[in-house]
Amino acid sequence: MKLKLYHKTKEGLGRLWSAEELANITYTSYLTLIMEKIGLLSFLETPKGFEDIEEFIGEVRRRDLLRNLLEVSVSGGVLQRNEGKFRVSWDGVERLKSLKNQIDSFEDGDVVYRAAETYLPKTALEVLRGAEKDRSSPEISLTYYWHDKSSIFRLGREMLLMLGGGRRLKGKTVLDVGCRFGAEPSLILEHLGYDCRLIAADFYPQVVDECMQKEVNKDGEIRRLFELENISFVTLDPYLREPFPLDDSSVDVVYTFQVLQWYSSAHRLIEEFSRVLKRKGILLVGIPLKEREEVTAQDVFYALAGGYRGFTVKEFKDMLKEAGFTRIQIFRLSFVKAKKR
Amino acid sequence: MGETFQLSFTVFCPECKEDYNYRVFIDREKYGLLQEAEGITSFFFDHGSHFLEVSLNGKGNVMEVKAVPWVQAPEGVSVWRRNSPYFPVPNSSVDTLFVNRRKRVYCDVNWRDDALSFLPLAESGRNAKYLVDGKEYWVLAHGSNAVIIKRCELWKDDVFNRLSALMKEFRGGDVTMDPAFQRIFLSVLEASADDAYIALDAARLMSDLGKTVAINLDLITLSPVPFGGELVELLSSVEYETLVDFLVLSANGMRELIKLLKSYRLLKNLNLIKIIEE
Repeated sequence: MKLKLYHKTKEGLGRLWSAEELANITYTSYLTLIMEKIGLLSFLETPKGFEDIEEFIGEVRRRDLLRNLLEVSVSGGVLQRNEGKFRVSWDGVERLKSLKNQIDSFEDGDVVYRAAETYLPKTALEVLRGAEKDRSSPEISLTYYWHDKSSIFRLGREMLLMLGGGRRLKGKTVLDVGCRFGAEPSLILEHLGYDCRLIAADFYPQVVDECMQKEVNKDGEIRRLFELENISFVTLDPYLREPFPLDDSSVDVVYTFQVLQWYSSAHRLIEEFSRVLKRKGILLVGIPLKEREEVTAQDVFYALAGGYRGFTVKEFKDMLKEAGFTRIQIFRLSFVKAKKR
Repeated sequence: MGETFQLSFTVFCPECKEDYNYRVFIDREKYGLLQEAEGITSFFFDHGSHFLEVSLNGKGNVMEVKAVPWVQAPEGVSVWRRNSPYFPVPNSSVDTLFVNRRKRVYCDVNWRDDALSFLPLAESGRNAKYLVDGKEYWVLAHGSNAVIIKRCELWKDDVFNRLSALMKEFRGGDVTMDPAFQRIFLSVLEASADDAYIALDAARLMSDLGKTVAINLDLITLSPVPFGGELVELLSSVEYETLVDFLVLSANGMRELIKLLKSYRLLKNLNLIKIIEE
């Protein structure tokens, strides 16, 4: 299985970068782009102290986040720090761009990059100034909409399915948490030959509505998801004050891709996954994990986009174990499979 | 016999060049209609070569008098009046007849056959399919409104139910007079051969007619796809806050309107268009 996944990854990414390398280049690129768009890189042509930067951005309430942004930019070589002052390193920016160009997947993943370039600078500014954002804000919704179109995300979803046993999931009840605009449910259905009972769930009714309208080609005929008999839709409480509207031990598989890093209450979600899963049910999670505890470019990116942060492998494993999961497998720091005891 | 009300008025017929005194008795139901929000109802008087149409307001005052050429109604059908749309209606390849049964009016700008002989199909007020001279006609009815359509061969059967759903979302007054409704409906018919779901998508916009929306043009403009080109032009051509009807009427031709109908739900679901006034 791991060999298959290895080849699938290589096929998608052109060359096999380590997961950490890839995440670092990707997210530092996003952050550099955001800093460029909000004029921060030009401002740092001459060395500036933290207070100057704070004043430049204006009304900063998330000083911790601003500090983290500067720290990871220094680690990524985009900024230099000297005697407590920060200055842009154009050489570092160029190096990063060249690395980004070497990652073939960016050709396909460019839609995600473009989304970050287009929608997120304003969001990042607002978050630094203390605004609360969630995935229903237009900017984040649009970013997610782009994700649905991205082949790099499709590859990730396919790999997660493969990790779960691929076609062996046929006939099972699958709960897809974070179904977004329909790319995920349609991929699961296509992979399983429409032979499963799929529950498509998201946290926002407008997202579920859009998912229901997603068109799929079933037996040569274009149908919308809401017309298929083996799929149902549920809207979950984004603040998790309410449990999922599903019975205990009612599903065989929980599938969730790039969702948990958005929620500080990820542990509550994992508890819910455990509650609704049958005994020996499978949990499949696509999530950017990290080995070390230090704040990464990825953490800062998610926070600036209104999300939470990445989790360390240990932290995530502990959450899973606490919720009753066992036989935890992690692939490329991005894909997790676990079984309910 | 139920309670009746008497209305008396004197009107000048522009065709006969004479004054006429009329007294009409109307029952409670018709009187109720006269009191409705629009406050205008019409009575028709046979003047031989023509008929006189007298429109009264809710207080019984004469608002308008017109001499209208007489049209011989087929047997069993009461007099129907032809309405011309106020706004240009796009040319559609699909024969479409807009009907309002209560007002006894129809609009046949997109109907190539004899309208009067088809109007009885709308009398039942129910959705139905009819075969007339080997051709299939669909009647889509909701309230006092109906649309009669000559079925296009390329349409799948599902299109009938989806058009019914579209019809139900119209909460305006009279389909024979409503330019936004007509534009949407005709565009949907035109596109239904290629896109069997267009009626469902359009139903979302239809249900928002009469509401005011705010458009986040900045974000929409930044999205090269799927909102690019003509749609961005259309959304830029209206005010930041606009009536949905105005958005429909601002579309430059069916192609642009179809793009709007296809994207409207997504634009709303992404919060790029928001209802700000119901």
